[in-house]
Amino acid sequence: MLRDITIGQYIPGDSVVHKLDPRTKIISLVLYMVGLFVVNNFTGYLFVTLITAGIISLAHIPYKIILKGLKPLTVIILLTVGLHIFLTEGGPLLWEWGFLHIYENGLRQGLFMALRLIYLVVVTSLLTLTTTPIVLTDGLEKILKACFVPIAHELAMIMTIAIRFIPTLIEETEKIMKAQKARGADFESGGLIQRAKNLIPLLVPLFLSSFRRADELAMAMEARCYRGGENRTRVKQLVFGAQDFLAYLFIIVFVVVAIFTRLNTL
Amino acid sequence: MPIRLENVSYVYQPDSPFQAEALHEVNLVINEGEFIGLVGHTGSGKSTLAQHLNGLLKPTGGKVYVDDWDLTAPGVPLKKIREKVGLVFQYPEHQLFEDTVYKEIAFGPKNLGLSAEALTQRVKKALQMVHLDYDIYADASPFDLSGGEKRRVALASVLAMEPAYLILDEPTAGLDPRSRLEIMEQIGELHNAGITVILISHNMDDVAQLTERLIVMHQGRIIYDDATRRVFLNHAARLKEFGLDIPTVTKLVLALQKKGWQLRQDVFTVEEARDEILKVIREGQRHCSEI
Repeated sequence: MLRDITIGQYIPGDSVVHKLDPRTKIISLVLYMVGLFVVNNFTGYLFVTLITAGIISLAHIPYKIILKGLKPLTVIILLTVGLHIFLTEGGPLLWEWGFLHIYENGLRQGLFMALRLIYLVVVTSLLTLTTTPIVLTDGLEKILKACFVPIAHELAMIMTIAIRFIPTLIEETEKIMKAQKARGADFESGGLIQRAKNLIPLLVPLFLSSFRRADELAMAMEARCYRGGENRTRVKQLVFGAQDFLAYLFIIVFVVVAIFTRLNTL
Repeated sequence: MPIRLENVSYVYQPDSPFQAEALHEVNLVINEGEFIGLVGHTGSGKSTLAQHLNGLLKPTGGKVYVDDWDLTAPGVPLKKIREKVGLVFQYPEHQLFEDTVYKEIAFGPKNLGLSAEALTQRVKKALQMVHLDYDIYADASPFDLSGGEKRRVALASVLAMEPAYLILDEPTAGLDPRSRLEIMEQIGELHNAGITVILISHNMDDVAQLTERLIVMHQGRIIYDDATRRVFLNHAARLKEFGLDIPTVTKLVLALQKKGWQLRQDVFTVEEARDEILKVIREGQRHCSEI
C-alpha cells in the first residue's frame, strides 16, 4: 500500500534523458508546461501527445511505472473531468438528464483538462524518475542562484533532505505499523474517528523517530563541518554538453509550435 | 500445534526494477516447546521469514499454517494468530507510544478485548516476566526509562498477549553488556515457562548458550536446520563463508588444540569449556605427579 508511492523515486538508467544536465531538465520542464497550457485545440493536443510519448520513449522508463505514478491522482483527475463536463456551457447540447447537461464545449474542456493533468504529472515524474535527488537539487540550487535567491543553497539542502527521507519515513512507518499490528492493533477497520484514534500508536513513535533522526542528522552534518552555502565548492561540477543544447533547441521549437497551433485556429 | 511453512517464497516489490527475492521455497516446521536459533548474515531473509509466522507478510508463493489455519486463505482470524505468535521486532522500544508503562503493556491485551481486571493481571504478569517491579514502573512514563528498561517494557508488551510462540528479532542489539545478559536470561526463563522461542541473532555465543535447534539462512534459503551443536560441529568452515561464525569459546578451544592441548571438539558454551579445560589440566597434573 505505502510502497505504491513513487514520488521522488529514481530509476537508474543511461538514456539521453538520464544524461541531461539537471538544469536543462528543470528549465525544459517549465517550458514544456508553458507549451502544454498554451495549446487549446485538437491539433495542439495531438502534437503535445506525440512529443510527450517521444520524451517518455527516449527516457527508457517502463510505462508500468509511469502509470503507477498516476494511480493516486485518479480521483483528482475524475473530479476535474466531471466538473468541467457538467459545468461548462456553450456549443450544442449533447446530453441532458434532469439538471445535468453536457455541452460540446464542456466535453472538450473536460477532455483537455484531463490530458493536461495527466501529461503534467507524467512529465514531472519523469524528471524525478531520471534524476537522482542529489543532482536534481544541485541543479535547482544553480538555477535559484542565477535568479539571485539569497539562501539558494539552504533551500536546496532542505529539499534534498526532505526527498532523501521520504523512503526512509515510509519504511519506518511500515515497520512501526507491523510492530503495532503484532500487538493486535487494527488500522483497517472502524469508523472515521475510530480510525483516526487507531493511528496514535503509529504517529507517536513516528514523530519521535523523526525528531531523533533530525537530531542525529544535524549532529552528523555539524561533525563534518557543515555551515551552509558560504564558500562552498563542489567536487562534481555541472557542465552543459551537446545534448543539453539540443534539448533546449527541441523544447523551444516545441513551445513555438504549440503557440503556432493556438494562433492558427483563432 | 506446530507452525508449518510449505515452499514459502517471498518477493519484495514484484514486477518493478527493484524486485528482490527474500525467501526461496522455504520448508520449515516449528514444534511447540522448541528453542530455535535463526541465524544468517544481513539480508539473508531472517526477518522476512519471521514476519511470515504471524501473518504480517503473506507469501508470494507457498503456504503457511499456524495451528492448521492457512494464513494465505482469505478471512483468517489474524488477531488470533498474532495473539498466538508474538513477534518482538528489532529495537522494539521504538514502538512505545503510551504515557505510562501500564497502558503501554495493556495495549496488546486490550486489542484482544479483555476486561479491566484481566488487563491488570496480564500487565502484572508480563512485568514480572521481565523482572520489573509493578509498583515502581506501572505509572512511570516509558520514555523516562533507561534503554535496557525500555527494551524490557517493549518485550513485556508482547508477552502480555500471552503468546504460545515468541519470535525475537535481535533482542539484545544495541544494549550494554549487563542488560544483554539480563534479557538473555529472561528469554531462557520464558522458554522454561513453556513458550516456544525463536531467537534471531548475530551473536553465536547467545545462540550456542540457549538454543537447541539452529536454522541457518543464506540468500533466502535454509541452508542448515539441525541441532545447534551439530551445526557448529560439522559446518564451522561453511558458516564462515556465509558471513557467520562459531562461538568464541569454540575458537578458544580450537586455538588450544593447535597448541597441543588434548581437548574435545564439541565445546560451545563457557561452562563446557571451563569443565573441559579443567579436566585436561587435572589430567596433566596427574601425569606430572606420576612421573
